Amino acid sequence: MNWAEFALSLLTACVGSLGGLGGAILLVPLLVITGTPPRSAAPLGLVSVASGSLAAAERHLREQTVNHRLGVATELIASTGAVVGAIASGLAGDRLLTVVLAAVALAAALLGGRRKGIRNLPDPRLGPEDIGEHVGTLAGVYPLGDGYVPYRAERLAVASTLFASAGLLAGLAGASGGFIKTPTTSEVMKVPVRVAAATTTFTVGVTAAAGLLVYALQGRVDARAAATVCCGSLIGGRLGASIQSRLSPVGVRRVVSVLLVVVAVALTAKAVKQ
Amino acid sequence: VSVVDRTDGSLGTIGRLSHIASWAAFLAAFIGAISDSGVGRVCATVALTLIAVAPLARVALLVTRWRRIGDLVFCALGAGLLTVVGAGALIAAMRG
Repeated sequence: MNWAEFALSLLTACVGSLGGLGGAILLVPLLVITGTPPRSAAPLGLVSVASGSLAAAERHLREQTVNHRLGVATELIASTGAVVGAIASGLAGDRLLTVVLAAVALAAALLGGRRKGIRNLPDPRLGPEDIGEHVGTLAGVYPLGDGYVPYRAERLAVASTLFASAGLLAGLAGASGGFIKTPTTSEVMKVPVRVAAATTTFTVGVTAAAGLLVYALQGRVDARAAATVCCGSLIGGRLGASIQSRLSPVGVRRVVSVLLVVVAVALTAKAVKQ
Repeated sequence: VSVVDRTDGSLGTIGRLSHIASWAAFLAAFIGAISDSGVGRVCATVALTLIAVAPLARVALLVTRWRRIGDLVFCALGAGLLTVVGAGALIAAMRG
């Protein structure tokens, strides 16, 4: 077993699952730095995202923080953008794309980081029987401590445009776009950050699974290295979801903001090297 | 007043299936990572298949559930997502 690949995938999947960011955007450059060829690193990034998403699913479902309707609706828009982006890939320069992604990550970090306090508060009129998604809507109730927090996704038109753009950028750049989706869901749609992170962790798993199938069909997946990354990411994904459930919404938001700054710095460094 | 789609029942099933898939993938991946034999390669392939199929199966189960409870808008959105993801994968595979 390659212990460096194992440790890096554990760490980045933990971070990705904690903040609903996917994690490939951190893992792929780290793998390249530690000697993995870039052509092999990209599929391993997707293995990590899909594994982390699967590992976190059980806890997110048990704690009822994931909103599947919101995830499916936003992912449909983002995936359509990603397919268009993937088809058009090569039209935009790698360096320009990386700089744009870094700027987006930094803007998302500032947007979440400057907000104080908790926006979505528990409603004392609600009880455990109210927990769940609301049929036919992008609303729901999730448990927080001893209370029950109602929420409803807002500003759908603006958010749809952002998700389509995130998908397009992700398709052009070959990323899952989780680091754009979580802040958009939380800060633009006003969905609680824990629901946003859990929902994005679900959706990036779908995107990564589709990409992984493509790489497998192209024969670009090194099975042994992928198994190592899968092992580390399954542990990391579970660990990240566990840490997230122990943090307050403000704590999760701060962690997401810090991680987005890290992503922005990593992308800037990548752009400088290109 | 919206009807609450409680996160038990079929969603409990998705949680249990995720739990089983996660542990099965971990065991298979572990054997695949430590063994360079034919068994190791088969186990690695099983692990990758599990992590690739699980999220898509989750969406397919959600589509089935939403159809059953009459949430046809989201049933259509879920089916649309699977179609877009499938088409995207097909286009990408064909382009090599």
